[in-house]
Amino acid sequence: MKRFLTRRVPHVLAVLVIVTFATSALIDLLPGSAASAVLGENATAAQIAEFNARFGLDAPLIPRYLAWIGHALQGDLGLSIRLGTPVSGLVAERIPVTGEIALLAILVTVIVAVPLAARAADRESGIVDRIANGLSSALVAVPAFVMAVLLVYVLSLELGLLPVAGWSPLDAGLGENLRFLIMPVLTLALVEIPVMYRVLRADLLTNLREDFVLAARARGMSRSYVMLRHVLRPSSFSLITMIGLTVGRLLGGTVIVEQIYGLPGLGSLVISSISSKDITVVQGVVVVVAVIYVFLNLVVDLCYTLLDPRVKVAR
Amino acid sequence: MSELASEPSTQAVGLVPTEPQEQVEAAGTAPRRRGWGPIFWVCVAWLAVVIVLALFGGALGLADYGAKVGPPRAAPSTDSLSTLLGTDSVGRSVLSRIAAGGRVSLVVGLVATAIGLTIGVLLGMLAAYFRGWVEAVIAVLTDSVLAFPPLILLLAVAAVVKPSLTTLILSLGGLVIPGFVRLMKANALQVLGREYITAAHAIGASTGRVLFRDVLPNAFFPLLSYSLLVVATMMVAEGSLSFLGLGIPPPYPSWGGMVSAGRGDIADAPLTVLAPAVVLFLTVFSLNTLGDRLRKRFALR
Amino acid sequence: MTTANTADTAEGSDASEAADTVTTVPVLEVEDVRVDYGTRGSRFTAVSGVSFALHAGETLGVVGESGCGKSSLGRAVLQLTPPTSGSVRLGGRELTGLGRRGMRPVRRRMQVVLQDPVSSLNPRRRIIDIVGEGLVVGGASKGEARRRAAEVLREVGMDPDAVGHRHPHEFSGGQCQRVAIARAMAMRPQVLVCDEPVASLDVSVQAQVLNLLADMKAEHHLAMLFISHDLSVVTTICDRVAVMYLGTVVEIGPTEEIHRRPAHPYTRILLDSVPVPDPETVDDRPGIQGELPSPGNPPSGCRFRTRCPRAQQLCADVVPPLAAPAGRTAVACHFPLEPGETLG
Repeated sequence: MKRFLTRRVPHVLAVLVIVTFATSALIDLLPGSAASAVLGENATAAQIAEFNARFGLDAPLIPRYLAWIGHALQGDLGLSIRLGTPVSGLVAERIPVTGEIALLAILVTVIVAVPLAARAADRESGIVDRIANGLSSALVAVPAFVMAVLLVYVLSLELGLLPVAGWSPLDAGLGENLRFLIMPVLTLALVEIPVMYRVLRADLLTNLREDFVLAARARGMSRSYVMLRHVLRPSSFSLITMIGLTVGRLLGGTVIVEQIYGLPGLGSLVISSISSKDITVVQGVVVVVAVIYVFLNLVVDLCYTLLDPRVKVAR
Repeated sequence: MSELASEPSTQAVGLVPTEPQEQVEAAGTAPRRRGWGPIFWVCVAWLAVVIVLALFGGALGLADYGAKVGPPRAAPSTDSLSTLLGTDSVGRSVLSRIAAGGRVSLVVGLVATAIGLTIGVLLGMLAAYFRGWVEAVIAVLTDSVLAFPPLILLLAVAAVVKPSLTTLILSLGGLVIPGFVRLMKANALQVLGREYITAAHAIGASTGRVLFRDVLPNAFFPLLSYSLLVVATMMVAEGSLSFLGLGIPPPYPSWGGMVSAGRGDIADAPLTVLAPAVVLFLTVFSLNTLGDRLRKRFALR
Repeated sequence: MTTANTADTAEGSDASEAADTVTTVPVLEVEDVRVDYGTRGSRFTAVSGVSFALHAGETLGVVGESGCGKSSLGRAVLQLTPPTSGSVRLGGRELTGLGRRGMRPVRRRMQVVLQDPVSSLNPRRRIIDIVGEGLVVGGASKGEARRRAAEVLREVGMDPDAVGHRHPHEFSGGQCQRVAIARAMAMRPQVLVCDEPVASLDVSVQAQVLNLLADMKAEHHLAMLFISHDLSVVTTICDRVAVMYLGTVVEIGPTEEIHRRPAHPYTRILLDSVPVPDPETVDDRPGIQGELPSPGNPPSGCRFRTRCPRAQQLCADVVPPLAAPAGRTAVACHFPLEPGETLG
């Protein structure tokens, strides 16, 4: 634990500094300038100067970064150069939508992938294993945007079961909210289930080949008991890791479904900000997502250290 | 650290390696089959078709990707190669556009992977050999790239740089460096523990000689099969960006862009969407399958 | 036989004065070598103050349990892990502090054969290139290296034309070990360090490899440091034996002496634990008790005292020096065994 804190924490801090610095530097990479992108080519020098001063863009990179991080630590991510409203407000508005999609998607993924992997690994090369393997290697090759387009085509256009796109907030009623969520969540889950299934199945098979499994079976324990106590339990470490990685991936993965299904989440905010050259908003979203991602990984590592007896023995 | 990670999920996303398939193989109670099996060869054949179409489409009689070859949304016909898959909303040949888009996919996939592989392998090897501060610096840099969900990072780049083939290749190539670094470092550490490394030091071999004669050849080959999976991932990433309108700028076609553009016509002319989608799927599937098979056969023991 | 033994004993008991009993200066002199591993916080000593000398044509065996520091000693002698302190001299020349670059010209005079025959050969290279690599590194042309490699391969009993272009995985463990010996011998070394060279071989193959090593030693007048955990292997090939326990040498002397009249209780126990292949014998010899203590935190005084049936208060207080009672092997024990005395 001490080793974890002394080695991991400085490392994570270094990563966070680089991440925030790199996103700050984005503005300098912008061809032309943020001001000309917003004000147009014909803006006067005075207008540009006023604009830069207003959004704190007039300082060079390093002081600008230091000022930005000082504000960011207090929850202030600056102003949108397009709308003039605080970025943190825009982001906060969008987070619940993305969070809801991502959480539901990971929930569905775990509920489907874990029992399926356990069943498949228990009878390796059995009928369930073969079908699930075939399906998963096919699904893994379907990009999310293709999946989304196909689902819309089949479920909405052909069968008319669900709305093509749109959003109804949670406060307007759970039923309506879920109706709009089914397809986005289904898209993400179909993309993530095969990934989790494959990793978990491989992990379970490795465990099943251990001698302690043979010993447990020799002592007359039932298949399901052995699976639950001796095989799934050690695999729960990799499951935690997988969930962490998947949630991180979903934070990025929702961009596509939000765009396709017209959901007001972080992803569609990024896309619209990119097309309107609202660079401070892009910066804000990227930083928020990256920081969440880094902390998620840290938590996963921490769980790993706390739960795995082997890690403890090795200090 | 969560090192059980080693397969790129193809979703433009899992660029950190994630599947402990080697372990299973190492435990190896499954009998080792000698042949590659029919699916392997079907995949090889499909990739060959894609490559031939992409490179020699014109020579085979395919119309230019921008040329009108018939009425808009024409149904497929066997009149000519160009109309085999019908036409799009303005009457351009779907097959021609798939062939041209394939050129982009192949170039992006191969070049970006090659860039990531070269830099990743060198950095990974150095980290494993020198340990200490070299390893720490490389770890902080790779983790910083991995700190961004990949698509978010690509979008951030797209926000400030005008999309072009070069920027696309460079940003995707940079994105896959960390995965290669981690894998190469793990392999190199394993190789460095072998006694032939001790033996090489004992005969007075220089650092460079040990790295390039002993470590590189032994740690590198398992990465090649992983590279095929990365090529597939790159193609999906390119498709996703093009789908979002942030990839290769139109009018040049790309598979992702075609899926996006054809969405409105999916009821009238399903092939405008389905054809590029299926081609992308089959290509990714083939690369994944080949990569998996090769990896199982050439895993580091 | 008796006279030879006494001469040997005198030399073995105080190697640094060997010059006046035997004709030559030792090829290899190791003095008070210490090897520490790890960094601040988790530091431990693998080898603490080992000294010996080795003459041309002589084989010194180093035996001990795994973790006793024998392999670390071998690596320290070869400067593969430079010793923390102490001195290693090859033909009178100091090697410690030379650094990797400085060691390079000296390397060919001191070679190594490692334990795992398969893992000690680079799987992606051909046998002929593996054997000749040291010469190429030393500046020889490719043709020269190949010629010499072929010559040595023949010497270790392999046909260079048949095996030279093949890869290591095509050979058995014993054959791979022959290749490894050829690789070492190609450099025409004066000193050969063998680190458990037969430990991972089938028993049936062990003897062949041991014979080959003995032949090489005799033909080339090699000084050989033979590291093994297996006392019976060591006694077949070594002139002298050093017994190591937790990083220190507890007894050193001629093989015959050690075998017949061990003075250290630990040596006695090691000898007693060699199984007797006779079903009629009732084995009532006392085995060793307890676990090897952690080398990071060794017992005070005599390191063996925690497992020694003869330990007394003195053993916990005072570190026994390595000293030779008249006409006996050098031993580090306050209460050495008399000739013929058994434990328990």
